[in-house]
Amino acid sequence: MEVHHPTSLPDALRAVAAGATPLAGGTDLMVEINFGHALPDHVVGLRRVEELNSWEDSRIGAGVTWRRIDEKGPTALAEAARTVGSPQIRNAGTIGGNVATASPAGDGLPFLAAVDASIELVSPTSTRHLLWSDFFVGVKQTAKAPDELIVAIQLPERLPSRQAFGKVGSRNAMVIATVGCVVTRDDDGKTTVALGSVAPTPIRAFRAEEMISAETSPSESALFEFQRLVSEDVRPITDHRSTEEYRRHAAGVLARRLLERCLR
Amino acid sequence: MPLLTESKVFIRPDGPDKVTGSGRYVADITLTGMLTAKFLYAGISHAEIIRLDVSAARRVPGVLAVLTHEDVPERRFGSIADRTLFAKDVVRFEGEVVAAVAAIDAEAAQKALDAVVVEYKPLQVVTDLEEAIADGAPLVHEGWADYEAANVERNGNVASFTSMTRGDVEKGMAQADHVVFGRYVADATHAAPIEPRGVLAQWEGDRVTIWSSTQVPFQARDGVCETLDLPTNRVRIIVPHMGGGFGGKCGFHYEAHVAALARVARRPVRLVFSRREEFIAPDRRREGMIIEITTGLKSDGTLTARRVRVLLDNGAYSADSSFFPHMAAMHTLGPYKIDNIHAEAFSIYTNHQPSGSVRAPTAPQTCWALESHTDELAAVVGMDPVAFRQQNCIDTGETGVAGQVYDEIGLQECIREAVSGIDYGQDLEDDEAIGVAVGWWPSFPGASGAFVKIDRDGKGVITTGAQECGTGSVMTLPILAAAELGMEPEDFELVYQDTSVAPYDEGATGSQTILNNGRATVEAARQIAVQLKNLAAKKLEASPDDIVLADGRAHVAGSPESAVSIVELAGVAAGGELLLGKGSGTPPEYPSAVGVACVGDQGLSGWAGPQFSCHAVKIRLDRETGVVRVLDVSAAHDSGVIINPIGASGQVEGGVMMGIGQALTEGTVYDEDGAQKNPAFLDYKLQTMADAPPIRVHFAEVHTPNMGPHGSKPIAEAPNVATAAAISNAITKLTGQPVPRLPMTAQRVWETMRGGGDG
Repeated sequence: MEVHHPTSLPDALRAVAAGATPLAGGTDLMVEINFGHALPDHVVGLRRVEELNSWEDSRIGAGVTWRRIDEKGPTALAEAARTVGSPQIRNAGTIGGNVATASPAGDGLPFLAAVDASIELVSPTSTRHLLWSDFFVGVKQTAKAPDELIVAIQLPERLPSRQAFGKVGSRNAMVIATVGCVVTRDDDGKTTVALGSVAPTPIRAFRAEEMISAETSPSESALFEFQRLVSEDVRPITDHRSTEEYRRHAAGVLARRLLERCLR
Repeated sequence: MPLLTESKVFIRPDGPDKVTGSGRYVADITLTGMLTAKFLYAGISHAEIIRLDVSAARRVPGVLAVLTHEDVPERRFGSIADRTLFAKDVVRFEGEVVAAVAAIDAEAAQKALDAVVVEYKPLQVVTDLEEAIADGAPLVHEGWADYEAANVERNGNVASFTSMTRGDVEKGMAQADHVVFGRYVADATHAAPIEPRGVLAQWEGDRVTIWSSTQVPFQARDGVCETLDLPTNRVRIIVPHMGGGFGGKCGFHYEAHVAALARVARRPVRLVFSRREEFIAPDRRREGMIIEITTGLKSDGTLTARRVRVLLDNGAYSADSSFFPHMAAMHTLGPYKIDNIHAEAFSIYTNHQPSGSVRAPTAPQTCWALESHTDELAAVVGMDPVAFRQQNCIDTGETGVAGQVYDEIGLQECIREAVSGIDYGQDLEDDEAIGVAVGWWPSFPGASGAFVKIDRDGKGVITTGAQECGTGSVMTLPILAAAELGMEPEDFELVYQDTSVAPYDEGATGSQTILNNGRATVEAARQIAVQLKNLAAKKLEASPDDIVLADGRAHVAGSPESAVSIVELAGVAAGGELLLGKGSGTPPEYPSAVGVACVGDQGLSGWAGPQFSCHAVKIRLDRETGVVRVLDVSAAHDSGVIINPIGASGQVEGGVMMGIGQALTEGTVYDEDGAQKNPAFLDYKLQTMADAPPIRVHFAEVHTPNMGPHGSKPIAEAPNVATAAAISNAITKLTGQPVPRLPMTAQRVWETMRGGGDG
């Protein structure tokens, strides 16, 4: 196995363009290797690339760890960070890695969907920004070109005043979400709801958003209508972790509760 | 009366090594020229081997040994001798070893595995327990009738069978005002020790030394001797630190495979399992079960009859599982007063991973079923579940289901203290409830030995066959020796992990270290006490009978100022008759059960030194999602007199945490072909510190004669019996009906609440 340890972004990009598998915190890649799903013969370690570790206002470098996000990230993203794995995993795992893996259960992804974040992709010859919905295209599939590296996550300059993250899982720590969800609500009532683990990619429940955004002071029946619409909008599957029916139900309940939190 | 009060903390001698990371486990040991071992597994649950060709694998550069069944003696082993080291002709579960390789590194070993040519003809897979014992079911072992097995009732896919009958169950049912039936299904679970197993073997001439992460070094040694045709004195098993076992590292596993590889390769060979291997390969998985219970009772709560039928998933082979049906029958009947019983329990061959002893085998699942059923019984007659148990559970002098009359026991105290410890009558939020369950577990007397010596500086060494897998022998045995000699536990070191040095012990299995090796250690220490008293008597000009050993000194009874230090006496002995003791003694006898007709009871129909427990658990249920959180646990145990409160409490806390996992999150999921779908911690969820509730522990210290030293009984497995049952009863109080399937995952709780759980 060939391993590169670049200290600058251009060197890292050259290695990626040459076919090296990027390694950030390793909390996903090493699991893939452990399970025999991946056996890269060429790896580029990104931890020493300072450009990736920078965080300026709404631009979060891809190498920023969950621990740093837990400390100073926006409310709901910090809440999500707190539920990523264990302290050891939060010290190693990065937001860029979460985005690159594009697991339907990625803890950071519902937030990015809820606030319409963009992914900054750089190749040796170009830089482009892809909206989250254009970037995530399937289960662990993204629109990133082979020679591109995720260098940063761009959040909007202004974030909604109220945000809440939650997940339903089998225990209190180190758990893969059965459903993960972020709800945001701004001062003008505009509401977004994004969910993970209930579709091939993170998704927004637009009908539910539209309905509840129109309610300036939602009644209890409006809240349950919101729940119903979220349950209808998600597209979960049945597997060994849970059933479609339970995920659909839990998604609606979780979204309603997070909305209630935003309204408090 | 504890020998060591909680005010005096005895730091376990292996603790600093383990918490600082300086402790060495098998995977940390490296020998010059050492090779890496890897196994080729079947990867298919039931198939005939049409072709097996390792010639290409043997030609892979860096490969020094490739073995199959052709390269070892043809020997069947197990409690039913249904297993061989390597598959021959047929594979019967996905983790069965077909070939083993030893190579200079893991990459070369993998290349060799990839080069093995093996072709299978798939056979019909047996996974459903009811279908497996139906007429005309395909057999997992065509040749089952020719296997050797002592005292085991067998028939086709029924690997072993037990029935127990006492009184007249039909008549008892006829006398009942109510007859209640319940059916419960438990998924398989795993021991899941944090250290995956490792084995390292090195030959010197015709003698082999094997470092193994085993709980039972002597059983492992005997397995090597049996399968490789070696005498016991040429096989030496050494166990370095262990990262847990929980029963999963009992028995004989891969020591012979690695020894055979090392012999052929003429190099040391080390095997270290991955987590996936730890899940799929060993014959130590907690069995899945179907449990059916019918109970007749009168309107005043008196139990008139109980009939039980238990189906256990034996898996493909029977490492130590042949006694499980008897254990399951006793646990499903329970520690209750019922004169009319009939129990039938079947351990059934399937093409799943083999079952084997995992902490309190069969007990958590059967207790969960029985105690869920017991709360239903209480509800039928309108009684509080605690009062119902107080009325029906056995007490001192009363007769149990097997006709055994119990000496002084603390079950009723356990019930009283467990509910008091959790404040049973407290005001609860409407999403909270408290569930209560009782459990029991037998003791297993057996042969065991220990040597004790005191050297010239008054420091001692206990050399014992007992194994430390986290169960605390490193604390308990020094405490016992020190108590006999008037010394401190810190004065003793333990040599405890070497079969060529120490006398025989069954190992850390069946919760028996205090009971058996404790007895041996006390006896060895007493011999030294006699020597010390004789030396002191001479020095102090008194009779040896009047010498008292206390506080590091020998003094004349009634005259504490007339004393000599043990260090001084040790110095005298060092120049003369050395201070040496050896202990073994006769194990306590098993009580005989009366009035019960048993088939296939494996000699255990009466339970020696049964340990009792009652767990009370407070939970919160999220009614919308089915998510259950355990808020508080109160666990009361009768394990006799407690020798070491710190260690005993630790056992209870750990057992409760395992029980919470079994109750809520831990369960193996199989696909239609018998393969595990979640053989990884990614999808098999143990409880973590973040899930741990407060655990209040009470010991009902009943002085138990003819058991362990100082009136003690065992403790390691008993705490892993009643927790899941108590959680179930709490959930039922909120859902109105029990969740009929273990683990009671959020999804299953939710499905039960809306009706139509998967049963």
